[in-house]
Amino acid sequence: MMKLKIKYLGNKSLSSVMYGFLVFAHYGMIPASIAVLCILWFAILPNPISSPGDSFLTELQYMIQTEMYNDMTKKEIEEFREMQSMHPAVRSIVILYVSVLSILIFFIIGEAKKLFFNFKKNIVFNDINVKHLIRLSKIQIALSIFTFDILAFIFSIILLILSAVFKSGAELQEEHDLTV
Amino acid sequence: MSIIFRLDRMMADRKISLTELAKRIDLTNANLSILKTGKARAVRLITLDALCRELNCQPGDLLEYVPDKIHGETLNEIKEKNDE
Repeated sequence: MMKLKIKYLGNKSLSSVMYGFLVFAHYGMIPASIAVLCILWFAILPNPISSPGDSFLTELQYMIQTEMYNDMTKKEIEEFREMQSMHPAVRSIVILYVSVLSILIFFIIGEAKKLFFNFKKNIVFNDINVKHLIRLSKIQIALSIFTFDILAFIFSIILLILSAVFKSGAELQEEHDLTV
Repeated sequence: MSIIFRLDRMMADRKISLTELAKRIDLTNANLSILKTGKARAVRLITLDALCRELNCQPGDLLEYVPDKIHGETLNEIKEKNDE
């Protein structure tokens, strides 16, 4: 039976595939987040309208709302209309929430991208990678608190422990590199 | 670290360059440079053996122990005391 040999580090490895994917995700996030925020801006902030108006903005708003209603169930439409009836300050918090979420995810992908770039270059046990892991875990903790996600919190703790493992590895690597 | 590698002194005595010595003992210039500049954390016995062979010397000629402190005093402090 043939054994499947998977290369995890260096060029043409799983790390380089992950790096490519993260580069795409990192740069793709910027226009995607802007698009989502614009859609939310038009859908949530203004008061709901029942027909397209004369101006371009009201026509755009009506189009976005109609598209959103087409994809929602009856219950979701009711909840959405309930949210639209809230005070504008409350509605703007939703946009702020989505903005902060986007920023946190953007930074998480950024740090992961830098980490996998080093793995692709076969730089594994290094102080720089330890710093990336610590930063990644801190942002992940912030995201888990923001989204009230216990699994994300556990994942961030695992990342913190992994950074300690990498720190030990970096010390051993340095010892190895400076042994002649 | 209190152990000093006197490779530069031996190389000057034997009139051999870093590149030539590295070639003879099958080590890279970078690694030998680490040894020469005192940045090395450890030396393999096989490397020490090769160096002694090529430089025609004893390990004691290459290694020197210079303590950082003797009974809590640094060498400079001891020297100042002796001068007084």
